[in-house]
Amino acid sequence: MTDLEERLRTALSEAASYAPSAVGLGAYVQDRRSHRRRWVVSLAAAAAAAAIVLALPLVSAHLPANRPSVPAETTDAPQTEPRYQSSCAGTVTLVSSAGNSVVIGAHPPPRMTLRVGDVLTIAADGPCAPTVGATPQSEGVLRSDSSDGLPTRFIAVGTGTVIVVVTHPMCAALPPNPECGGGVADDGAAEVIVVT
Amino acid sequence: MDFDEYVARRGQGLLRFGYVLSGDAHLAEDLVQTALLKAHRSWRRVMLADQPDAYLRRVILNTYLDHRRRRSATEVPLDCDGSSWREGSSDDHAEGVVLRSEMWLALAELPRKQRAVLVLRYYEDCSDSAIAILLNCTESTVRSNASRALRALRGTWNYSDGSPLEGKRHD
Repeated sequence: MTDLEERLRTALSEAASYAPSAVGLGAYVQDRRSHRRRWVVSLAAAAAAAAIVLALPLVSAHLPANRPSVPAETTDAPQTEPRYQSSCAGTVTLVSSAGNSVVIGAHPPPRMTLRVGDVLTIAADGPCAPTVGATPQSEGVLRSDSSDGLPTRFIAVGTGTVIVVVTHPMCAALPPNPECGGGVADDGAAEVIVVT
Repeated sequence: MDFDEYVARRGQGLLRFGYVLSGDAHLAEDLVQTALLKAHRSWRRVMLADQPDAYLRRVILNTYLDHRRRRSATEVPLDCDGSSWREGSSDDHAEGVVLRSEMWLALAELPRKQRAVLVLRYYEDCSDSAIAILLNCTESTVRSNASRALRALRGTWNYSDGSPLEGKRHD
């Protein structure tokens, strides 16, 4: 090593001793870390808020926003989670019709409101299904044959008497039907409509 | 070793390296802080590599080279004459002070890569192959940079006969 290199080495080593103190370095790094942590928390909060906003339309789409009005005699019915798989038998009586809906009551009540376009599923796996000759798992739509557009009948597979399980959120609000052999009560939901 | 412990243990050493490399106390702090923040983001990976010092030195070095490039276009240095070192050396012998000051000024005049080569070779005691890896160049490039830097220092000091600063001291 030449003299110049030796002196350069010495000079650099001595210069290093005049480097600034690292006392404040840890605090600075800590501060930057906490700042970064705050930033991450803020970002997470913003992401959560955005997710909620984005999810709102999806949630509301699954809510029975256009739930038909519940007849007075069923308003005190126990509220259960909507299920659309149930069946039992009963006698259907057209109770009334108003607007675009027809109120159909099984015998004995409950009643419910159906509209044109509601999809109905024929279920033959209920306890009463064999007695009325239902067609298993067929589906029909509530339609209107009248000039005023009011729903008049269900078009569904099967002839004669069929059991129709209403695939409608309103089913959840209906009370159990004792005549259904426990079907409604056991399943917790769904109205049974027998169409003749 | 967690990050805080590493900073407490090695922070001063990194600052020294940054200071010798850049010749500026404030820039040295910036370099080290930038390097530590980068290391903190991927601290687990750095520790898995088991060479945090090497990693941080490399980050400091690259940040310094980038900083110098950026500063050349955006900043005007106001004080690059090593005044802090001279002030801190007020108790030294006059000859030593002058020698270090002149050396410091001469180093500051060097191109950044040549200065980095000298610091890595004579302060960090890195081999030419290690310097080549750090600077992402060949060993011959390292040697040529070192040779040019030393030649420039000799020229600056009028260092030819083993008596450095001979002419300057008697100006």
